[in-house]
Parts: sequence; structure tokens; C-alpha cells
Amino acid sequence: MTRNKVLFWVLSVILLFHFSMKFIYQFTDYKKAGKFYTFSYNYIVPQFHFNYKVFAPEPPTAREHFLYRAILNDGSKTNWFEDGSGLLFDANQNRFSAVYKKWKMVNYLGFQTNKVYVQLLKNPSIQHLGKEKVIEIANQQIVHYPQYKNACRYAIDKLVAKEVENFSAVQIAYLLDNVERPYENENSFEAQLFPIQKIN
Amino acid sequence: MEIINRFTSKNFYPTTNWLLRRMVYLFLIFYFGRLIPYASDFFAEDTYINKFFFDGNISKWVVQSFNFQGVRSMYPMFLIMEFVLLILGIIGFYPKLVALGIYGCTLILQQSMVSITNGGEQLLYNCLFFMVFLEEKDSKDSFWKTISNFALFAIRLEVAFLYLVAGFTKLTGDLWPSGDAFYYVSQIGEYSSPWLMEFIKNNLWVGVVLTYLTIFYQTTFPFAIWFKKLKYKWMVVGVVFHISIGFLNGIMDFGLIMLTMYFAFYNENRSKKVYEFFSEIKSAGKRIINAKGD
Repeated sequence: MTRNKVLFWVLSVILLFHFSMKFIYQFTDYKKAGKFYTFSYNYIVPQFHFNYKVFAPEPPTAREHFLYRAILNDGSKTNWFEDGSGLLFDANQNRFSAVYKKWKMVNYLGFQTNKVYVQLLKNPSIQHLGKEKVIEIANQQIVHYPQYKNACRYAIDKLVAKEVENFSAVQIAYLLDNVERPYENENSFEAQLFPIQKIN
Repeated sequence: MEIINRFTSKNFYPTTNWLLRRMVYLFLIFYFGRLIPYASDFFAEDTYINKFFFDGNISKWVVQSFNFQGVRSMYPMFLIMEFVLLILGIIGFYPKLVALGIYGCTLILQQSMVSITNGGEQLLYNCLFFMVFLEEKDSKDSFWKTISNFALFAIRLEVAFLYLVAGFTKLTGDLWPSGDAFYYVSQIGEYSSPWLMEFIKNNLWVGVVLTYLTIFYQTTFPFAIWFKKLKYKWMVVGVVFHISIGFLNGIMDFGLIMLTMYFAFYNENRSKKVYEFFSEIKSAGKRIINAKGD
């Protein structure tokens, strides 16, 4: 009986600890929480990693597009290519297929690169240098990030698959097509062009 | 004191545990099965998804072992192992040991695409851990009975926690409380379909109603699910809710996972009915196999 009691209380404490960590991990602002958050982070990631804020606190408000194009040997540029729309069309044909996941992967390339790039542009330590210099520094830095490298690698692979010949560089872009507000019909776009990546 | 005795002297839900494991394993067969045509995109060495970095956290070294140089090239082996374990799990071969294998194998495989997983998938991975400890028989060993009862309780808490987070964080935004959220979601191709876009655009009030219904459902689920009288009513609404999300918004795996996890809330009687249904299918299958033609 005593053994059962001990087991009951031990398991209760473990459960309480587990869900407390989850609560802290999900709701705490990591910038403010410091060590408190770090502790919960180290407990949760990677084995219990989660993000249960499904479309919260705000739903997505823009259609996202990952674009790429080739820079040909003569310096001219091809049209922009976009694979996401085709994948989404296929995904809509069969909701049970994994094409949606593939779309998500392609889109994620643009999303992640853009996320890193925006952080570089907002780097507080270089803001005093002026807008042009900030962009120049961000362009120099982004090429070293795996997110950018992966996106460029995808673009190169796809251009080769599309039999685009004689290209010496690629350029990727991320386009946000903002959803028109209710009762309004005007779209707005935000585009982020990333630096050209030369091919070795 | 009474609650301690109850928790430690009886396995409350052996059939529910049996059923939950089978439903989750069946879902995982479907889940990984549909990824097979695109397996190299997600699991292979040259995937475009960012690989995670090791930062000295020992559990990361184990869980993310899939990202070690050369390991990813063996991804077909991991997938085969996953399917073999799932089939063994459905058969009921060493349930806890196989459940541990499934948890480990799934966790390692999903690390390769963790950045593109949704909340439902993450809930499933978390619940797989607790499912290791589920006891499918009312054994005499009070140790495993207690652990099993806690594990099922933890799975239920995990599901309720997802709704709690999803529901209440929506209230902290602007577009959910204003009723515009569903409109925005419906206008984005990846979460909608052409006819739904048009329909919501022309009937904005439907979007407002669906926004508030979503908030109401998600914020009340974590509480309603613990009351016998409300539990099944909320689950029926959930079935409609998640199937609609699956077909209308395209996030099918999220909906299917949530529906699968609802089996954790079944009481013994209800689980036994499903168990008997499966038993009848099994015996009918045996009769067909053993039948001799004229």
C-alpha cells in the first residue's frame, strides 16, 4: 500500500513537472524569461517539441510564393518560376495525399530565408549606418546561412530539371500577396529579392 | 485517499488503451505510407529542409541522430523498421516494447521534417511517448496499472492542452476576436479551395460565425471533455469540425490526428463495442480464409 502511495505521488509530481514545462515553453516570452525559459527549452526540445498555437494569435493574412530565376551567361534573366501553385493544385485534387507537405517544404524555403533576412535587416547594431549600407551588409551575411543555401540549391536543381541551359547564377525571391481586407478589393504585395548566387 | 486506491488498484481502461494504440498505429501506417512517393524529399541526405545543429544537449544527439553524416542515406531502412514495428504493434507483439520502438523510430524520422510539421503531428509524437506505458490487460501488477492510468491521463491532458493553447491564444490576437480570422484563412490557397474562397467572400457573415464557433469550441473543449454528459457531444462536434477543416482547409492530417486521439477519451464500454466490432471482422476474415469452395 505504501509502495502504491509513493508511486502515485511520484507520478503526480512527474506529470505536474512535465506540463508545467510545457506551459512555460509555450507561453513564456523567451527574451524576458531568461534561465527559466532555457530550462524548459532544454527539457522540451527536441523530444517533446510542440507548438499548439494553431493559427493563433493571428491567422495567416498573405498568400506566400517562393520564386526563382536563372541568370544566363550573357547576363540576361529568365522569367520567374514558381512551383507552389502547381503543387497546391495537385494537393487540392486529393486531400489525403502528401503533396501538401511537399508544397509546405517548398514554401518553407522562401519563408525561412525571408525570416533570417528580415532579422539581418533589423539588426540594431548596424541601423546607424543607413538603409543602403544595412541592405549591403544583410546581403553579404545572408549568403552564409543554410536557409539561403538550401533555397538556392533547390532553385538550381529545379532549373536543371526544367532544362534551362547556360545559366551562371540564380536569384530567389519571396512574395507576399496580402489578402484584401473584407469589403475591399485592393491587393497589396510585398516582395523580397535576395542576392544573386553564382554557381561554381 | 480514495483516489490513490482507485488509481493504483485497477487498470481503468485496458480496452481503451488497446484501441487507442491500434488506431494510432493504423494512422501512422497511412501517414508514412503516403510519404513514401516523396520520401527522398523529406528524409534523404540532400533534402532541402534545414538540418538541426547539435548544441551539446545529449538528448538532441540521440533524437537527432538521423542528421549525422551518412545516417540519412539509410532512411529506407528506418521507414521499413517503422512499418514492421507498426504491424507488430497492431498484432499486439510485446506491446510496450514495440511501442517504445515506434516512439523512437517515429521521433528520429520526424526530426528530418520537424520544421514543416503541424500541431497535430507534434501532439501525436508527444502522445506516442505516453503510449509506451499503456497496459492493455488488467494485470495483477499494481505498478504497471498505476503507470498505465497515469499515461492515459497524460494523453488526455495533452489533447486538452492543445485545445487550451489553440483556443485561448486566439483570444489574444486581433483578427479572431473581431470575427475576421476565418475570412483571411479562407482567402489563402494553401488553407482553402477555390469555391470556399468565393463563398466566404460573398457571405462574410458565414466567416464571422465560423470564427466564433472555432473559438468557442477550442476554448470549451479542455473543460467539457472531463464531464460525462458533455464529453461525447463535444467529440461529435469535433468530428464534424475536424473533417470540415480537413476537406475545406486542406489540413487533413491535423484533423485525422485529432480524431484518432479522441479514442483516448472513450470509456471502457464504448471501447469494448469497437473491440467486438474488430473481433467480428477478424473472425469473418478467418471464416472466409478457411472456407472451402464447392
